[in-house]
Amino acid sequence: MINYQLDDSGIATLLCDLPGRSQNLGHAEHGAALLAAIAAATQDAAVKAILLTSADPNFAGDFEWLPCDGDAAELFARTMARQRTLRQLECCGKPVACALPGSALGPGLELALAAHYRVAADRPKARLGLPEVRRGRLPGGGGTQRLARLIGIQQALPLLLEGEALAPETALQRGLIHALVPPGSEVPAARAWLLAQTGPVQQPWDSKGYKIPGGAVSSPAVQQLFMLANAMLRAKALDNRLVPQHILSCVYEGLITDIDTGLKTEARYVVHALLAGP
Amino acid sequence: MQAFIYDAVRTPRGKGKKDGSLHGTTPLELAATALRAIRERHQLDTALVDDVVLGCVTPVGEQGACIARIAVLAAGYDQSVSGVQVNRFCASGLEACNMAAAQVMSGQAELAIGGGVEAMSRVPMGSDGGAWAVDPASAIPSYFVPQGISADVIATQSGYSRQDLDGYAVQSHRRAQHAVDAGYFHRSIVPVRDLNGLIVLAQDETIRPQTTLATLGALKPSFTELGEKYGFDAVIRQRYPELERVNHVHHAGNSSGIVDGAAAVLIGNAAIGARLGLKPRARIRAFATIGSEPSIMLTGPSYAAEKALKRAGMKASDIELFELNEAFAAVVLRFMERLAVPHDRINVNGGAIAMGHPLGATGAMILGTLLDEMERRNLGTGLATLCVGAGMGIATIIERN
Repeated sequence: MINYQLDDSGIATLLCDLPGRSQNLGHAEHGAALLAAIAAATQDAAVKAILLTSADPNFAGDFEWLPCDGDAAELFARTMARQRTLRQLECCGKPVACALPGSALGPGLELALAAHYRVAADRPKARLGLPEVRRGRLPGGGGTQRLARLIGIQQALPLLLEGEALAPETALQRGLIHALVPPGSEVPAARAWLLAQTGPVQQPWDSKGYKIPGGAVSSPAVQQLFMLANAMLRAKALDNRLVPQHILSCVYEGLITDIDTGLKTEARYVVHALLAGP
Repeated sequence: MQAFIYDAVRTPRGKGKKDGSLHGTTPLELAATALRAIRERHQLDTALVDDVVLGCVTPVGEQGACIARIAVLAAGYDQSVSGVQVNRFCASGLEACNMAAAQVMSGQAELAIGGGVEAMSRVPMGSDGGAWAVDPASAIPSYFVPQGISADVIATQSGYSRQDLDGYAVQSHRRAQHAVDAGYFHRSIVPVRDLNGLIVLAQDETIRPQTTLATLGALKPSFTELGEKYGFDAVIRQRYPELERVNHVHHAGNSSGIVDGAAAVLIGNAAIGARLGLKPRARIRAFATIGSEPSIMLTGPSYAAEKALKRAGMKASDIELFELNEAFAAVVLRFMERLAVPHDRINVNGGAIAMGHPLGATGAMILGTLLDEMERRNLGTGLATLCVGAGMGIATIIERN
């Protein structure tokens, strides 16, 4: 399920490989295996750098992170365990690169967002996005927190609220990924980036002096943005308004705080949506 | 018209930092938690509540734009319930209760709620700006110094040693932990829950019962550098020329903690209580506020208490139990000395040194703590008081039959 290889230069490659997977089976197991492999790679002293990629062009698959059954306490514990593992990944100090051979949707993109560097194959038909909202779900692997911190609240909200997926070229322009390369050269490009890193690497939002692109929640522009987003959400009169409303809350509440608290906030809303059912 | 306290609730106090349990809870939700608890504990028809008065000292950002009215709506109260946010610095929560009581006493409200909220981990103290410390026209003529310097001057003037203050602080933690263990706070504390019903925080988070004189002794005074290097000692010595120097004796361990929390107190006249079958827990007998010398700033509680006592026709010795906000240890020691209050009649379940001081909420919290303990000990009279920024004091006297 997860092909794990450590090479001579200390790069651990986590290759998501799901031969013959069907649409619905084994997805949660896949997520759990992936999280376990990530945790192992961050802790293994022999691993100097981590490369995430996928055998299938659909990066990391469109899977469930973890089983979605259980009571509120179980679901919250499980969601937080996932948040902590991805946090561990981005905070372990080792450079983490993600090579996207094709599409990265939902959990696939969330995983990629926890990497320090994202390079994608230039396939115009590939799509990157967080479409959870279209299925009555919230991005549950830190998507609301990392995307908004990466590209700014104003840029992130439409993607989160509408679930729009972007072509790689657009994703590059919007700052979701760092580089676009000819198909087939994404893994070498990611390796090259990893080998070029000399010191510990961290996310922009963990760096000193980090400011949310486009302004903090308290900035006049973002205050107005939320005011209008709230109105537009109601104006659309959706059948299920609660999920997009909760996505807005994740961004509003979570970006007032540090990312660790924000991830916890996201987890609470994610659990609420899981309990509400599909 | 008489005003009665029908109930008092508070959230637990969470450490006011990023790793505090309530950091992820918005101030709106904290305030709404307290208001919902008032409603649910009495199946209260909220349309009967005339007004909700909430203290909040940093009413900007998420705490801005009249958080009281917004909390009324968030708590699902009837839309007819108005809300107002008040700021009398650290006294705001008690001020809110007094204002609610005043509406009832004057016959302009039948039922009102006083309370307060402060999410200090999310809306940092001082982020509302203000002229006080900054505008030369205010700061220079009024000999402005940070209140930790003021507290150090009170200690210096009164001869309180570092050990006196630390000894008091150790007691605050011991008493608070004992109160927790014995369940004295159970009646008032409402756990903070998330939208799934999971408990976010159920108990006060900053009590350290293992605190000793030795552990506190290791802490460095907090205001030495401000005082000595940045001139504030010299400023207050110009105001008090008799001071040879300022002993810097306060530190993080004998001062109030920065925390998040909210509180609400249900106050009404006798008729509405009878109509709703609510049992009056105490009568609000008198209250007072006062201004005191602003540079030393924190001497107001004794003057406010004396003013309220005079209004009630009482003496300090008529009061069986006191709650004085533990802003700084010296503030409490001075009050005990001035009003001849023995330590076993004041802050008997600890205070803000152990449990923290969520600025806008504390006054309402200690009023509830006072009432709970008066009931537990079956006492008749109690007084709650706080020192207040820019030189003010507040006191409220309550009475049980």
